[in-house]
Amino acid sequence: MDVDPSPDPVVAGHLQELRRGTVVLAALVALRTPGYGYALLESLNEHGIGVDANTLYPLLRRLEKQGLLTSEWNTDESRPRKFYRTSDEGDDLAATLIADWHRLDASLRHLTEETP
Amino acid sequence: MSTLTDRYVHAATRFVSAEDERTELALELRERIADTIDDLRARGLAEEQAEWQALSDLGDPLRLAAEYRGRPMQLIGPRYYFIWLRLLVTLLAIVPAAIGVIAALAAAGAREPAGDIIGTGISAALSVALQVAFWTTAVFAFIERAAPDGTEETAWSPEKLPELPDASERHRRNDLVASLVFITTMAALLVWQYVGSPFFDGETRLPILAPDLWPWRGGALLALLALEAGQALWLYRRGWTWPGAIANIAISLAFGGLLVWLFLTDRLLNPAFIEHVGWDQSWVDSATPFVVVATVAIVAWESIDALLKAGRRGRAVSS
Repeated sequence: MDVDPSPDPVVAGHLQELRRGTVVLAALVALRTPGYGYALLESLNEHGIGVDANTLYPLLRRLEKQGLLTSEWNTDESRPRKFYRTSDEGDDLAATLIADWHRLDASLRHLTEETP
Repeated sequence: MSTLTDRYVHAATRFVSAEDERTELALELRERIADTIDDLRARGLAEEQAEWQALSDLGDPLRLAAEYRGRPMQLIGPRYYFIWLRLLVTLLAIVPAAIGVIAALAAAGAREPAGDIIGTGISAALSVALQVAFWTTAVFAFIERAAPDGTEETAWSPEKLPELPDASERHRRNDLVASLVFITTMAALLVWQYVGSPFFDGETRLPILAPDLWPWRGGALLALLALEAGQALWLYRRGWTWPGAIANIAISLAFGGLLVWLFLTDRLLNPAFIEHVGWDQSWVDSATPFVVVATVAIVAWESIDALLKAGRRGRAVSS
């Protein structure tokens, strides 16, 4: 599932560190349309945001606890599923995170241009 | 739902005390397990294999529940670790030694033999050390779980920094001179009271200490004093190392132990001398507990001092 699988554990560890915050951002953006755990897991991985189920499920709970997501049990289908949706606070946080992401991107580009 | 999934959900939720939370967690886990099984079956796995695989991927149910609920998975986390460590070390340095001395004092007051007094002191110190370690840790483990998320460690400020260890040459030379003067004086007194005692019974010189100390027991005392002098020189040259501290403690224990044993078995003082100066044997007996306790206290203090100095130096060198 990893976008850039690397056999070196040091490299893998740093990549994981770099991507950790992006999962939160991706989930907040994706859940503007309500969705449940497994569907979100698949759609994130399809979009190249590599994330593990053992990371994503506890993360959704934490974001809900922080008021960034709201949840509702959907019992229409044969199996009850918990649907999450990004709250207004979550939307605000996503906007802040995206702005910071662009700022970091610009900063890093400056840095790499200055130090070839 | 098969029994394996039921068992997994039960294992993950059985320690959640709040009814609502337990029901919710169980529903979420069932949803996740069922979705995972569906996906694995779509990839061609048989029902049973898919369930087995899904549950294997979830891992230890207790760990999973802790991750879902944001519960700590360590006894004492980084928030409280150093407060716990400092408190524990401080308490262990003071409390067991103090209780050990008090227990030895009580045993000495009850006129128990020397071995029993020392044994009582040591076993009291050990059991107190265990109690201190257990309860301190238990209280901190509780705080770790009871303190709300986001509680910061108590603020640290630069004034809490320890003083630099004083390992200056001058300081160590003073220590050496003091030790050598003390040791030489003790050795001289030990020999003088035998060969040059100012007390006479008629024409016979009366040693203050029992004459049958010589050659063996008195010799042992002199040998220990010589060892202590060598040890003081070693410390002067090498500073307080761990082997130095251990040797120091061993010599102190041997010297103190020998003295206490001689005193308690009435082998230390010369009975003829006691009679000559008109002391009553019962005075000597009633002084016994105090002599024993004072000796134990001095040995304990020396040992703790040696360990502290070695520990301080160890940190100064490694930092």
